[in-house]
Amino acid sequence: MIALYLRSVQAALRAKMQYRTDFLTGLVLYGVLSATDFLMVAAILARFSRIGGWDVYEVGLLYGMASIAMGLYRTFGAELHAFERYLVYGEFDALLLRPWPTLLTLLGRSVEPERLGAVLQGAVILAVAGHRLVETGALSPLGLAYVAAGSLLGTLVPLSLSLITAAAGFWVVRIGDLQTFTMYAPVTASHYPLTVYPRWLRTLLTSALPVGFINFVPVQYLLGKGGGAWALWVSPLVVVGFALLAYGFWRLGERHYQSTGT
Amino acid sequence: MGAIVEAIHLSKVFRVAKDRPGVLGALRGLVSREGRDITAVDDISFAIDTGEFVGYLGPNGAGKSTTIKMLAGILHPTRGEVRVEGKSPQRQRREVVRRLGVVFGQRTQAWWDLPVRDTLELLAAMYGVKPKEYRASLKRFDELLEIGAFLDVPVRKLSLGQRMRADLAAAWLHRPPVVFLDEPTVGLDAVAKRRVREFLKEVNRQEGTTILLTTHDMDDIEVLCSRVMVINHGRLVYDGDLTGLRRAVGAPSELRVEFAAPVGEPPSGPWTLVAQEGAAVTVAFDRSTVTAAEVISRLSRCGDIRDVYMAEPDIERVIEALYRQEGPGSHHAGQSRPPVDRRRALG
Amino acid sequence: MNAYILSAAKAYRRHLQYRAAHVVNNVASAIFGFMYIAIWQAATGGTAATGDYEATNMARWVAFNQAMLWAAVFLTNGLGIPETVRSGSVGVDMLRPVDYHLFVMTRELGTIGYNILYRCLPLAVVFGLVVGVQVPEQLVTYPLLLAAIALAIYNGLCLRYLIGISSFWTVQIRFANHLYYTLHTAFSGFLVPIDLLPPPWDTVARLLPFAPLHHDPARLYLELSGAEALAWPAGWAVTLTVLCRVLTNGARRRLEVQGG
Repeated sequence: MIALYLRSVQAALRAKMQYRTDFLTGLVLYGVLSATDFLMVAAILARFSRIGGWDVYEVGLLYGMASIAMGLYRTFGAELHAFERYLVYGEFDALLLRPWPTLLTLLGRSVEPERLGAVLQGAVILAVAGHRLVETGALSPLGLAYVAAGSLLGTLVPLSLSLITAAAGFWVVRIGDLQTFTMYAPVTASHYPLTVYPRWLRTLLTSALPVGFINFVPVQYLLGKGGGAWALWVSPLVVVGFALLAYGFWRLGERHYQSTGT
Repeated sequence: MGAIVEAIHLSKVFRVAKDRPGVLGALRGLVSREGRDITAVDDISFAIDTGEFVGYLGPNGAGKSTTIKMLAGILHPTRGEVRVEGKSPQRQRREVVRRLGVVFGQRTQAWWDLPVRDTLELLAAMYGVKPKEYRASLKRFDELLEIGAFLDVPVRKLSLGQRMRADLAAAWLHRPPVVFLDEPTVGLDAVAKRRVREFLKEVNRQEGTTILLTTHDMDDIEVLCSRVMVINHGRLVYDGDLTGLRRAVGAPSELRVEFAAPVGEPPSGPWTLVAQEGAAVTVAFDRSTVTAAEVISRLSRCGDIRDVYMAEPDIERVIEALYRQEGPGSHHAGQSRPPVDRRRALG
Repeated sequence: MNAYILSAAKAYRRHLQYRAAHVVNNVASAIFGFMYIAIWQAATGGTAATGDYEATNMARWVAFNQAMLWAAVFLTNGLGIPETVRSGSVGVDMLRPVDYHLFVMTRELGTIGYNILYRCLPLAVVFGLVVGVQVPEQLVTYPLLLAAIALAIYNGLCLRYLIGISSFWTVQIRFANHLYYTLHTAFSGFLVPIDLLPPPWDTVARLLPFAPLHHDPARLYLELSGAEALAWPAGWAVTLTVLCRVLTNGARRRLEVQGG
């Protein structure tokens, strides 16, 4: 099944490479443009030196992780992100005609490799911040390795949020507006330490929209700013558990689609 | 041979949400299930035998697409059941679709930005077609559909006819025993249509593929189908062969008789006079009330007959007549869909 | 004149159908606002009042600009021009006996009117309840603020129009929108007041036409600036109008030469 997915992605990439200049401009643009988000954070920190007790390198660690996770999701989850179209134009039918799980067929149909520019940008910021924190002894090299692995696994969080949003579309069809709430807002929020937010928002970001487990929860412990060692194994568990939950909801929505029609 | 596709008391009721005014109304609409019911398919039963070529006819919104979608497992029936090779496409979706080919004339299965070959290769991998079988199929498709000429051209650059040929190849690649075709000839020119029909005829005869085809082109039906099912207002109003359909509708057949010499007054009988020019007389009669032989024998009393031409009623007119007949389910409104002209890859 | 008003009214009514979906969006907008306010409080909290931009002012700054986004920034991508260029229907649009530039801009006013009523005002009420509303001390602030908002909307419209009309020459419109949002984030001062940006970033930001969308009206709203804050936005309004006219004429010529 994985082999087939890879084959699909390969074909999708070939299709993309028909427009090579588009890809190259896109790669550079996404890389440079996504960096502005961090520039804004850096601008605030240049003036006030700390946000909620976190300096620019520590925030950079959070930002880098979230950026890699989101960038990878936007690269490989492109079709899921644009799922509204499948519902509005009835294109979902075609997915049901293939002898594979619909989600696998869907994800394999297109990728947006130019979004890797944003991943690269996040990786650079993560590397710079990580290097500095290891140098000053705030973070152990092993901790940095955990952070790198956590960024990759973290991709599951935006993917799951998107999957839940898309599955909600089986009932409400229009999901474009919902995405702002379920994806853009929480992912942006995860660029900063969650402790700066009011309690209700912090709760939201570690439960229903669990972006806190991509970066903040483990990093807080790794930098000695609170939490316990449990954070290191609970975070990946929550991320994987949330993904399973999201997939279950997707299956439920799929059955609902079949019983109501478009 | 046993039935390979079965519909058993199949019904599909769509619930259309009631529009409410205002923000509150819209919010209520999200939670309440209140609405109007529309019966798109109303208690349809049929069985298609292995190797049959069935035409499925009906006006727009009659329930054709809804039926096909239920047969293919895209939709769950509200009542009743579907069996394809004895399995339910709803409960065993992946097993059933592996043995199914589906072509929607309005949309392509192919990868928009890639050559046809890439799509076929990917589908071969998806359906587990062995490399040897794959090469054999490709050769055969080239003979029947001449797809070799454009195998390496990106799909977006193909003509409509070429794209349909590519779609047919894609649907038959894994040699499915059952294929559903939804308007495969729509929008094609005469040459392309003929090629598509030849292919369908060939695979139906040689491979024994069971085919269910919807179309608005009566030539498709006349050339291809051994059996016709007609749906109107969600109900099956006819199921049988073409001749029977003509008879059932009672559409008039036409008879043109040339006498040795001009006959004076128009002959009268159980027919209506269509034309009279010199020695030639054309009459229309209803085959369900009088036979052709009877008409000829009655006409021969007017004078010596030199020649006789029979004209069966145009199938198009037969169908029109059938659609006009108000069936018992005529109070049900059909489902009409906005035309979809987005042609995207459906890989 | 009638055709312009009618098209705006139609755009307004089209949005009215999706009010329920937009409620969700408003919640998201409010959350973004609360997030930024919390971040500013965390940043400024430790330090003593930092002149113009102390914690209360920053909360109101964020709230004001969060509402302004919907009036001046979150407009239809390219004002809907790129789609008509792709489909070719722009040829027909340009043949109509109305001024194309004016027609496209007024049509968008329907969207803006809807946004102000159903997005800006609810957001203003929610934020007002939480961070308080700045009541201007001087009477003159009211007309000045209104003028600043009007200029922000006008400049926002012109910028979107320029993106849209550029689709006559390039197909990379997807990137253009992305670029626009990025420039807006970096140079409008909607999150970080331009005065707080490190040099030479602040100088660049002051010169670009993004400050008139957020920074200038927000300073007027908080009574940190007077009438002089209108000069630069007004200058940009004139410049952008000239640019729009020039590009519209260019597009028309291109259409006549190439037939779309």
